[in-house]
Amino acid sequence: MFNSDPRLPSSKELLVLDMLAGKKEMYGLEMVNASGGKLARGTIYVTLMRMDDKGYVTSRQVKEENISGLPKRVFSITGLGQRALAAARQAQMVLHGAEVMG
Amino acid sequence: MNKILEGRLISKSIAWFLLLNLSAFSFVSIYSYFQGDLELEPRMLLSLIPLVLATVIVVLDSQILNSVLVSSKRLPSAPGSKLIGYSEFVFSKRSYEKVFLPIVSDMREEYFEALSQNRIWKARWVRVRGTSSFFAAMGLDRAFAFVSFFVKAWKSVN
Repeated sequence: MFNSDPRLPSSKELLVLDMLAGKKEMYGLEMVNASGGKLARGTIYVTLMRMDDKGYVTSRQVKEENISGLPKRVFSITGLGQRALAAARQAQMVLHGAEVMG
Repeated sequence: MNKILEGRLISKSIAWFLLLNLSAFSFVSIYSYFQGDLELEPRMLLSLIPLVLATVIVVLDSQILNSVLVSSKRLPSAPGSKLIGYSEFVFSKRSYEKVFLPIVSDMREEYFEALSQNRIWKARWVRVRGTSSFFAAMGLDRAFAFVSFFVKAWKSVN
């Protein structure tokens, strides 16, 4: 169910993609703690589900024993996500260059 | 434990007996008053006071017994158990697995971590924060579902 109308990711989505690009797999709470308050516990999983719908990330359930007694869901970046991140970085660089020139 | 349950049962039985007695007394008095068989005197109302007081004391006593002696012996459920049951019943499998289950899983992880460090107040705070996160996610999920429904409807019409 990939997005047929590709757009640049939002700032939160970029932050998530940026974190996932540096690591193999992460789970929601890990991202919230690593974001330094930029991501909230209440919104992270909804954002991740929307990114999953767009094809930027993929997820799997880890059924290993953990303290909560519930399975964890770990997320990783997809090829489309990496391309979207690269495109967003390029756009930022162009905008930054235009600001410096102007 | 059996003595506690017996005590609770006796005090509850007395409470119910007194409550029924009081109800019957009130009903008969009101009925008789409206039938004209009874002339209400202040003295009669005064006789109700000890009965009402006894009922209140026994009811309160059974409540205290219940909360202090019995509830404290009951095994508490893990935080978010009711939220999981509710979300599994109300939301789609996809939303349940990808949004609500991970939120409760994260909350439990932080909660048990705080408890293992003997930080009771932090654990309580984690529980409150986790529950509010759950409801925030629920609102956001419903809002997106609502918007996507109308977008799909709009696209299908045009």
